[in-house]
Amino acid sequence: MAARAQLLLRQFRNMGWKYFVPWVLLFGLIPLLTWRYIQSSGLTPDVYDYMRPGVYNDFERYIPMALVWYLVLLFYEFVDNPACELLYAYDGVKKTRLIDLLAVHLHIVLMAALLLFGYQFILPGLWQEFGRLCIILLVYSCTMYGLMYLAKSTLFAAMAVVIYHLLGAFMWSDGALFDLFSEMRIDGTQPPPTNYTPFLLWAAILLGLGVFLNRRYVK
Amino acid sequence: MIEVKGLKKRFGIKTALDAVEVTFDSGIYGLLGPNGAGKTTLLRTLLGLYPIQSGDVFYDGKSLRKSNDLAQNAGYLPQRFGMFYELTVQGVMAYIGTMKKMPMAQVRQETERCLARTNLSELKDRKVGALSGGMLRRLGIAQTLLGDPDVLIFDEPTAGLDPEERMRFKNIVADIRRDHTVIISTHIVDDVDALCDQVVVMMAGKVAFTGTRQQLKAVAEKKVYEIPVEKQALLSPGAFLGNRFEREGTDYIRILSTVPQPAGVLVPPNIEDGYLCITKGM
Repeated sequence: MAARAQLLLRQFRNMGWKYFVPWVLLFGLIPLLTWRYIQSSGLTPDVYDYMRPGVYNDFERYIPMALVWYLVLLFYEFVDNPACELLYAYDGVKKTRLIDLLAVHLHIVLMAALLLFGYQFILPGLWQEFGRLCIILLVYSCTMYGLMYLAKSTLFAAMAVVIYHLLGAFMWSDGALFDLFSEMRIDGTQPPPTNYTPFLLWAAILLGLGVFLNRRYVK
Repeated sequence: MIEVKGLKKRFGIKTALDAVEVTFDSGIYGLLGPNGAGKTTLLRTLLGLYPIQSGDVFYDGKSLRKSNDLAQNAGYLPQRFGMFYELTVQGVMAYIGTMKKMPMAQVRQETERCLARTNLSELKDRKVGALSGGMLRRLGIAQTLLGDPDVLIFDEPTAGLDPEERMRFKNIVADIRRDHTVIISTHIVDDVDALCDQVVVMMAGKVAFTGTRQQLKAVAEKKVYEIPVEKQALLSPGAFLGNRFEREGTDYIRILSTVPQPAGVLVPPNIEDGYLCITKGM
């Protein structure tokens, strides 16, 4: 376990300065956008109600992007690098990279939790949306894992997820088919849990596919 | 000892390995063959990267179908090495040492030894991304030596190296030849001539030859001729044209032929001649 933690630490260190890009995005850009909501509202008494959906939408838009960024950086060595077979040979070919996936996933969930914790002081109810955000992150993590090993390319997987994300989080209106975000607008109602079933099923299939392909991976 | 018995591997309709039978004992083995002969597929199968479809591989008497002990006791240099560009040289060594399940103290000790052996000690704090191609290749060789594994597998180790780096590689391998099994897959016949005790030639997924360097040369015995270029028209059919070279102001051509060539002079064969005789079916 200690050895695995050391490996993970070095994998994160290998991201170099690029590791800090999502930190700037989450703790720089998102608060900046929030500040713009406050300014544009003219500091009316209902400013917090006004900015609440916008802030949550920003979370939905930018936090999953940070996840994709970290997954590309960490999995490049195991998926794209021509020498990756060396790592699979030494580490045991049947071993999956689920620990790495989990590490990135938990890392971004913790970052999101930290951000939400900070927002508690101005938007106390925002915690209720944390579960929805976690579902998006889970679906994206599993989709990335499956697509990376299927296409043997982190870039392909990232492009596919980013295109979907841009359509879903920025362009599609509520109710669009295959829209993970359509039921997640802050309108005071909770979506029925079955709405996520197709997405979670998709995530499970892609994760399973990734594990299957990962166990016999040669670039 | 590694024993490969009746190993077959198919990729769709293409047969990459066709009933390969070969034994690797202590010493240096040169794995020769044209592109697509199955060399890399064989090495990857030994390391467990490809599953064994048919036949078997035994490492010290144990089948690799049950557990791949060979991969755990091997150092491997793939064709293209270069990874973790943001880590330092010793960071990469520590990563690979940890992956090989070595205790941290041993990792430090072994890192120093292997970097010293490959003349990288002074660069241990340099980022991998800042290394030249030759230095990167040396780092690749250094990581194969980590933990002093019983089996060392090098896939095209000298490709792209300058003469000095190639000489350094040969010296490293010559030093570790005792009590180790070293398999070097290469296109460069000179490397085999300089290093290898045994040669395995692969063709179209099959082992076409196994034996010593002398035995490989003997395959071309009485088949190698040198002939002045201006007499090339006098060659009997069936000759394979080899190197062209100049000697004492005259251009010559080296040819391989199974039929006597009265216009040429019979000369002693070298390893390349033996290899060409096998690959050309002569």
